[in-house]
Amino acid sequence: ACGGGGATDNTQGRSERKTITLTIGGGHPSNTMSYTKVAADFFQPEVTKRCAEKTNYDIEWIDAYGGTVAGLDEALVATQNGLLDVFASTFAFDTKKLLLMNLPYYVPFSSQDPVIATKASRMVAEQFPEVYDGLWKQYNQKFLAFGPTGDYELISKFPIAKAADVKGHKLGGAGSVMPWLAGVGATPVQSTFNEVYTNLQTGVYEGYVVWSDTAMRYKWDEIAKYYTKVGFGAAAIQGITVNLDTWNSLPKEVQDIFLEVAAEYEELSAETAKSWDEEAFAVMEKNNGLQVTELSDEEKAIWLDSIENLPEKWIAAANEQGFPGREIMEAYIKAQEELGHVYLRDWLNE
Amino acid sequence: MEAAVIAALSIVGLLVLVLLGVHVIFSLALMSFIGIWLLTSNFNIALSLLGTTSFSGVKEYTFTVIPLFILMGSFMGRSGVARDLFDTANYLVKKLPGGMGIATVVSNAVFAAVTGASVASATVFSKISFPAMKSYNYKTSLALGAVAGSSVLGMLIPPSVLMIIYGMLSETSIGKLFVAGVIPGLVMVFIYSIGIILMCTINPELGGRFKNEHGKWVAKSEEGETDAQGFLKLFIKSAPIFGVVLLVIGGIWGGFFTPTEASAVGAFSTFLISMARGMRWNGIKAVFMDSAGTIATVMFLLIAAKMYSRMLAMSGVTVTLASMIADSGLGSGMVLFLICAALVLLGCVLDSNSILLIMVPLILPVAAVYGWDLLWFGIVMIIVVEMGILTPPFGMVVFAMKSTIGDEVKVEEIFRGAAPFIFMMVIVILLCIFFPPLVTWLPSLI
Amino acid sequence: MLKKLNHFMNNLCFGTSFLGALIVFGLMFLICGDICGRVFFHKPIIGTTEIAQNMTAAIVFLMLPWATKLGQHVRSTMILSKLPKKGVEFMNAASYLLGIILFIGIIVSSWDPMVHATKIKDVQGEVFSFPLYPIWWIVIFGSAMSLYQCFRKFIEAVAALFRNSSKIKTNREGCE
Ligand code: NA
Ligand code: NA
Repeated sequence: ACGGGGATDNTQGRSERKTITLTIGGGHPSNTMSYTKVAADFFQPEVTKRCAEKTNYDIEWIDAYGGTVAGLDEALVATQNGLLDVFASTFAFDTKKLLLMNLPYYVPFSSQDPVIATKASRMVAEQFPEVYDGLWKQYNQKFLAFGPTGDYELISKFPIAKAADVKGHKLGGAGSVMPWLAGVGATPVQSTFNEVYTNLQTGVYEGYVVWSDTAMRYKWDEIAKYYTKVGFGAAAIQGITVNLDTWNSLPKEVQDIFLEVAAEYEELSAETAKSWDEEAFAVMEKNNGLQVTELSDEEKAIWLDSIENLPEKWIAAANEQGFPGREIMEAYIKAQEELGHVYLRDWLNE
Repeated sequence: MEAAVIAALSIVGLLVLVLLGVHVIFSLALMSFIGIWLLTSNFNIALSLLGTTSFSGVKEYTFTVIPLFILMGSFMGRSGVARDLFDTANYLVKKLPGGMGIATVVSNAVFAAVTGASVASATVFSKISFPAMKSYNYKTSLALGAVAGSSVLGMLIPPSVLMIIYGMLSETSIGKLFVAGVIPGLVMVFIYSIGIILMCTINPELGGRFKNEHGKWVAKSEEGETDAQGFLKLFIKSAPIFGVVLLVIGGIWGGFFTPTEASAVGAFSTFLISMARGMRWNGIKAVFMDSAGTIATVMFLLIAAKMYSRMLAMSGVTVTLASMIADSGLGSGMVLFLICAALVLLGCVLDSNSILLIMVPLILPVAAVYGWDLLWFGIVMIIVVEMGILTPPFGMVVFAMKSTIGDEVKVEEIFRGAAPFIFMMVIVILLCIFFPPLVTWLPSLI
Repeated sequence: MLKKLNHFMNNLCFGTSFLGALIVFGLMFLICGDICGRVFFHKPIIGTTEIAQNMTAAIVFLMLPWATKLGQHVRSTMILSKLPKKGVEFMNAASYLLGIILFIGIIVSSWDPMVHATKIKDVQGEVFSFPLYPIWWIVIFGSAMSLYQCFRKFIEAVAALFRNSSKIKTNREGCE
């Protein structure tokens, strides 16, 4: 591979085996998120194993997770340039460049199930192959797989039974969830995971929008005892891509294995995100008596109606970039519905 | 070429270039560029590292605080606030051998409660206590060493940029880490003070004393400004800084702002104090130009260091190192020793942030195997990593001091002066390792 | 003519450095304002995080040329101090040549990203969209100005190498 030192001879085997070294990673550590964990523990070893069994190539990986080669907002460019051969990172920090991939953030209250979220994104990608390929080609990459977040919900120090209960409270979250919070009367505070424990403890904010696995890992349940399923939902806004030069330098049989394992990765990372969320709730209930509740549909609708029309906002931005914005947005919403999700707001007919 | 060989050669190359007198930033950038070129056999990939790292290398909130801390330091320096703090501390300990050295350590500990970056501490006290000690005939080595050594407190006593990074990487509570750093910080103040007293008792000339006609060791007369003012007067003059300390600590724990935001609050309050003390536009302009030079050199060093750490990460050599240690089958104590040794070695060539970024994810699995407490291990690791800011050839604090003091001292003099303090840091580390409650007791109360 | 150019470049470097410090000062007010807005009025200043993070690179590259001009970048003098004058000048020339190469490298490798970012008007952030492309301009501008300063020091060192030793004294680094 072009980025990883190229193939070297290894004459010890009976047939002449060659080694391909690939650098893989991105901004997130490989131990804290399901999509990177599954990349490190399944995608990499499985590719290596199948290549060893079925081809003449040995794949060697150099791990570059956790920002050791490129940070959260650099991974895209680093993979474009070849500093990383394989991107296993998030799309969320490239607001404009990857607007297309960040679509789920603009449709809050989609399915809470990471498996459905991922399948819906995949269905859209298959409906508009030339759009997705074109986007990634622009950044010199081959798109392989989605990796979802868990289900975005709200952990807080105070109980929430109605949407109005958050009025006047300060709520934290990543930049991308800020638009979900302001309309309902909360004071949105932008903050990253690493600061949440202290900020919840001291009261910089009293709640944080996140999926349960992350809350459990960082032990926020030690401070905040209430988890409210508001219904923001899961989003497939992370994934795996390969630098196009690297990709084209891979032998056909290796490419095929990559595609095969990537498809399995996509399913497994979605299932893992889902099961980790469920396990995390159980752990937090047991350890710190976390109280998990879900808003009623009426209250969800109240919250939902307080948010500006984000899908229309996305469509306008996507059209501006030359994408068929409305068709793609409609396809995503339709895919979610086909997979069984019921939307409480008809975003596109207002 | 084998990746490990390339990594090793890049380290040797870096040493040679720096020793020859090539600017540190140019040496780091060149070696990372060549390293990646060799690793990937691709010129363009190596080239792209320069652009992307320049653009994004310091694009995080944890780096944004450094200019703010430096600005705060300049305000404190120019307005005389830091000087008053130093004078107050000095009033209390001046009778002791090496009293001004101890005063440096103590006032640095107070300053550490508002700053989260050691380079800021080093910058301020290079301007304040170094000239003061020189004027009382302290030997340059001790004066430099006291400033360099005590600046370590900046990141050990909360708030601390390193603790924020470690907490983020290890999923440990940053609040608890902050609290855990307090006692080791105070222990370090104590050990430094004892060390300075010992050094100045054995060799009184270090502490500015000389033999008078009767063959007795005496200090240069300290009659004059400081003696004429009583302690109370001094204390009142230095009260504003304790106000800032209270504001910052209270603000963080009262939930008004985050530890990172504290940098802006600290800078703003020192700006207000400076105004109250009569600083006007000309003074502010001087503060700006003071800070600009330090910010530019320090931040660009961090960018260049990040280029280098990325090259090392791409070589995979750190992973090899960590897995060698993890798979060694040695006992817990030996493994801890090896990890510390590896950190010290990396500390010679990398900046503290990059070391944590690279090594924490690698070491965490090892820590889990041996069941180490992550709070305890974090503090031990942070002190070990902080030794790196004082060790050649790449010593961030030493460079910041050099860039502040200017041509009056040589880089090597600062490194040499800091050496005894590195030794004292080792003692603090050993204490923390063998008496874990020093670290874990205080956070267990919250 | 050359003198005028040099004078202009130095003033420009000083000016941008000052501007960088002014931005740090501004960030200080912005962050404090954000805190006050959040705590007292339930109205934080949206975008503070994006602005603070992204301005850091801009600050560095605005300040870099003047620091380069003043020769503030750190180097070891252990061996330099033992070298004869010509040896020092040789090392100065070599070192600043590396600096020239570094800044050319940064400019060349930043060019395409800058062009692309400018073309798509690249931004970061959903609620508040911070424009990223001017940061690329500043990175390139700061590198170009630093390149100029390195080039000047390189020429000075080379000139000193080829001059007879009595004249060297008057042409040391830092003389204006
Ligand atoms: Na501190
Ligand atoms: Na060092």
